[in-house]
Amino acid sequence: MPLSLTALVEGLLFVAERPLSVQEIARVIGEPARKVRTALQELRNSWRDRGILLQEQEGAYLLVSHPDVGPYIRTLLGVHRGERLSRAALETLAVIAYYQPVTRADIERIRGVNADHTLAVLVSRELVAAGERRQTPGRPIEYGTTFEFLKYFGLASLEDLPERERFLAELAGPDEKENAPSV
Amino acid sequence: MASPLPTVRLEVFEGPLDVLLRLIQEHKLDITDLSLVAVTQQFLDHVQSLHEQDGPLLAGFLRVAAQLMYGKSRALLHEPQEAEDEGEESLEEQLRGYERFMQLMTTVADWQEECDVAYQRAAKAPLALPLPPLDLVSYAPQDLVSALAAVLEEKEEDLPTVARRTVHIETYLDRIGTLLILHGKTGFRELIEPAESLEEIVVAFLAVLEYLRLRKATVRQAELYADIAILPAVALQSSDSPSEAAAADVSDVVVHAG
Repeated sequence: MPLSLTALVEGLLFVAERPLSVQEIARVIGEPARKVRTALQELRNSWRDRGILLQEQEGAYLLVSHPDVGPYIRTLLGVHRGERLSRAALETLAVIAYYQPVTRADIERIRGVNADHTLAVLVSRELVAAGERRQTPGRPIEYGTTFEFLKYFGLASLEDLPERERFLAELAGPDEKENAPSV
Repeated sequence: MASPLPTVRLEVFEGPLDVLLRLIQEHKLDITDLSLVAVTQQFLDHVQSLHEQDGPLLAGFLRVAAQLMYGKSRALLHEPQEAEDEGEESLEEQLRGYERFMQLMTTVADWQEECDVAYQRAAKAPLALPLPPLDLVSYAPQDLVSALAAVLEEKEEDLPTVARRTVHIETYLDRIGTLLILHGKTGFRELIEPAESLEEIVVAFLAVLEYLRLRKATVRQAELYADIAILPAVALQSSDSPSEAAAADVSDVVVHAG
């Protein structure tokens, strides 16, 4: 009996050393992207409560270990977790994660402090990557998080950012809040 | 108002909004235009203490200071708050946003402590020399069976048994001694008659060299590739013309061994 499309997708994700896009999987297997998406959804559901995790960002998929296995993997491979991000880097990373794509000016407006250094640190650690240029005066570069970011925090996708709804609602914009009494 | 400010920790992320927010919180005020006016002087004092700071950070402080002064001047003149032009955030709004952000940042900080890393499959280290890819398609598992059968069939044919044989140099030292005692002289070909491998011949040669080193024997070779005559050293010492005696012996040995 031939393997199902889901099983084929599973095999591809297992060997891939980089995120695979839906289009790429569809082209390789020769099935429409729509069916591949269904297969991916099926895999994600069937991998719930398993030691592996299917990460997704912008239509690309990567198979990784479940974050709860992390400590044992470090023992197995004899590696350390590495140093923690500094408070400043974490703040900048949080701004980018929740509001991406953001420009350097956006970050500085929210944090109220120059972000050159922390942004450079995050980019060099590949937690953040420069994207396209925003079509506004000065054409500033927009930044977003990467798969390295998802791995670092053990997230399946950006949808799983903790308290994402609260963050987005709270920080959607002060304009939506009622104006404080003015002098 | 003129109370001295607490020493500010000059960490990179501690910007003007940090300072402003703390000043307001120290006075237990809400973030309003009024409270901003109230802490303006303290903020300016703080900026003055920053003269050694780096440019971009100082610029940020000065910008906020300018906004504060502007707000204060309006308050003094009892000017109503105008609608912000060009949709730019007022300082008050900015500070509110910052306060909310900092409250939420505590969540993110905890989160970094609690979460763990998801690991990608460890990539195989690339080979130093890239090998041509194997054609994995043209074989089926059944081919393994036939390949193994072929190997076993071959094995049934009479294959030589390979056994490890250890040859000690002492064996050949003894053999040289014995031959010299029995025949008074010997030759390399005679010496290696029992040898079964190249290694054994090498060992025999080493034994000859060892005899030479110990000055217990001497050797002669008549010509290239001829047999090497091995003679007891004592015999040579007793002779005044060893070359002649040796030459005669060599021909004997060659005939004998050939």
